[in-house]
Amino acid sequence: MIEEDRPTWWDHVKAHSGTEADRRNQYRFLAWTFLWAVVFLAATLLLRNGIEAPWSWAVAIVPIVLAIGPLASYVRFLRQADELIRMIQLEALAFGFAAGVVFATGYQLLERAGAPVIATGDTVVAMMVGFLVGQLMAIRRYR
Amino acid sequence: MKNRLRVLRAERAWSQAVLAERLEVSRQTVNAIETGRYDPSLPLAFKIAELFGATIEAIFEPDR
Repeated sequence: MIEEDRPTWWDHVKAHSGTEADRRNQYRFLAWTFLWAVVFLAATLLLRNGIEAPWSWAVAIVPIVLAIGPLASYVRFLRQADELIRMIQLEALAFGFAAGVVFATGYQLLERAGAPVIATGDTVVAMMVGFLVGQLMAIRRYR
Repeated sequence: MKNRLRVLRAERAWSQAVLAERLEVSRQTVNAIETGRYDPSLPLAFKIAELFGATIEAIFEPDR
């Protein structure tokens, strides 16, 4: 008798986490990302409040250097990940990258056509949204 | 790619979780392979074949 253990939707959500090792690596990545975000926010506030050189340079550089943490932990997660999880992540990265490129190049044309001017940093938002959408699509495909 | 993974697993009365643990992959990977939505890497295919004491060709069959 074949055991019926087709995963539920919640299992698919948990599919992000993969094996126990994957979960550990993801927690490590999230912890680094949280730390980086806090430092980035603090640096932004300090620079907005008119901190002066040379301290302004130091404040600006700290989050840039600290970004090595999330980057390295994500690469480690990807290298050690369960192969299906890795496939899902790679498809999501490709989708996110494409979304960023399409947004950055496409919005330039829209701006020339009369759309409101936006900050170049908004491309990051498009990449993140693309990454999340890509993840959901890949999870759905392999469920 | 078609495969006999579900049948082989059932013959041993293993759950997907047990098979996943033996193969050191996630249960989602086992499920995706069984349903034919994901083709395993060559190292994983060899691992599956070794676990069931069969050849890769005896477990996996290309779509024609």
